[in-house]
This record gives sequence, C-alpha cells and structure tokens, in this order.
Amino acid sequence: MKLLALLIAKLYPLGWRRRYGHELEALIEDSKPSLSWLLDILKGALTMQIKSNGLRIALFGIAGALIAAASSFAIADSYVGTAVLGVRDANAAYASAQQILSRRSLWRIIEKNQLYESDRNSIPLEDVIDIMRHSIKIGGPHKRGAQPQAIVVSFQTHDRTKAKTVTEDLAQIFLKDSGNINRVIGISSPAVPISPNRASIVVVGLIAGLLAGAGYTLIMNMRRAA
Amino acid sequence: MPDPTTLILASLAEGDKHGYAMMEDIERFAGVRLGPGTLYGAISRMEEHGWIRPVRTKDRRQPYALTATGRAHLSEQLNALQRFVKAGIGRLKQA
Repeated sequence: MKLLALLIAKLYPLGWRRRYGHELEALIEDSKPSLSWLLDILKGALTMQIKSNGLRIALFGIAGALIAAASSFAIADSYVGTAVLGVRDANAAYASAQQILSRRSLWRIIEKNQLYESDRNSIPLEDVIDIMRHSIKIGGPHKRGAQPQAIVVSFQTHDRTKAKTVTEDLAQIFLKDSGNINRVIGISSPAVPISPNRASIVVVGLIAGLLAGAGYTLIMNMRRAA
Repeated sequence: MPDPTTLILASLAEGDKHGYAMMEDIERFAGVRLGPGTLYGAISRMEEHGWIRPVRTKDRRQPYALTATGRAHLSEQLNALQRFVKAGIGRLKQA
C-alpha cells in the first residue's frame, strides 16, 4: 500500500514535486496508508495537475470539441416521418404488420420515391429492401391497463421530404391491406433532424479532449521524472 | 467543521510542526484525519498566501511555522466561527 501511495505521489506535477515531493514521500513513509489515503493523494495530484497544466488541458479539450463539431457535420442529418393509425385490434395490427410490409409493396415505395439510389446500383435488391425494413419502426402508444387504440409507423431517412412521403405511402398500405386499421389519425415529419445530436457529440469531444490532455500531461511528467 | 486551512493554522498556532505531526495533532484536537493530498494541497496554498513558512531543517520532514499574516487570518476565521456558533446556539435556545 505504501509503495502504491508513493507511485501515486509521482502523479503530482514536476514543479510541485520538486518543492513538496520529498516531504510528501516522508509523510507517506511515516504513516500507514489506507485506501481513502490513496484516493486523497490521487485527488490532490489531479487537482495540482489541473492547477499547473490547466491551460494545456483546456486547449486539448477545445481541440477535442472542435474536431467533434467538425466530424458531426460530416454525418448526414436523419429525419423521421411518423404516422399514427387508428386500430380496432392493436395486437392483430402488430401481428399483421410484417406481412403487410411485403417485398413487393416496399419495392414499389422504393421505386416511387427513388430511395437508396446508390445502393440500388451496387447491392442486391433483397439487401436494399432489408435496409428499408430496418428504417421502418412499428410501435404503439401503450396505455397502462387499456388496449392501445392506435399504432405508430415511422420511417427514417436522410431526406426530410421523403421521410414524409414514404410515411404517407406506408400509412396508405396499412390502411388498404389491414382489416384492423380503420383510419389515419395523423402524419408528421418534424423539421428538426433526430440525429446526429451535435451538442452531445461536441460534449463527448470536449470530455475526450480533456482526458487526453490530462493523460498527455501525466505521461510527460512521468517521462521527465524518469 | 472548519476547513483544512483553518485546522492547519490552528495546529501551527501551538508551535512549528511537520506534515505528519500536523495530521496527528489535528486528529487529536479536532477529530479530523486529513489525508496527505488534502494536507499538502492546503500547505502549498497557504505558503503561496504567506500564511505559513518553512522552517530551516536538514530533515526530509519539513516543519512549518505560522506567519503574522497567517495568525491574523486564523484569528479572523475563528472569530467568524465563534459568531456562527454563538448565533446557532442562541437560535437553538429560542426554539
């Protein structure tokens, strides 16, 4: 435990250790370190590192945030169109949903809306349809203790207009082919993309940058000490 | 409970001490066991403020002494604490 405490004490900034390092080591050698002591020394070392190298760590953090912000703009926006459909029997509607979304009906929507144009030229038809299936979500507003009276069909894509038109097409297919769906309650396509969440990406970049800065500072200190 | 700075200043008010002696003394008179990180974080801050100064020694265990500024700061802190304690006890009696 003493050896570990002495090792952790080496995490203090070099300048600080030149002034107080030998005193701190003498104190550790005189005492009986416990786990809480180790954590206290670690906390002290981190605090001093931030105090001594705050500017460098902050610059790493800013760089991380900027890189993350730039990367987030390389990710295409994703929009979700949502249709709420009134049902007679929600369980039956869920059960029949996958059958309704047949290969043929999905292909018709793909062609009509000119979806996945680059994929259609490079991968098999079945794979394109699978991509579309994965972009369609079917769920319901579940009410506690009551049978849901509606199901929600949503479609996600990078084009806001297509998100809405494809959702409308899906709603029409459900309305036509399912005996359990009796009306379209509403169709919406928010103007704001659901992803990427650029604020979260920037925050993650900032934190990663700060950690990288702290790590770099520690490694440099240890090298100088060696 | 007073902060580590006040505890260290109060310990040094009795006489010069090195880190380990301060920790033992503070535990005895205040019932608080300061960790080495907390102790040396406070010592370096207090030296910057000029509240304590190292005493010349050949030992690795560096003793520290209270300066006049440190004594004045301690006095100020203890007076504030005394006012707080007095007000708290007074309110308890009224309740």
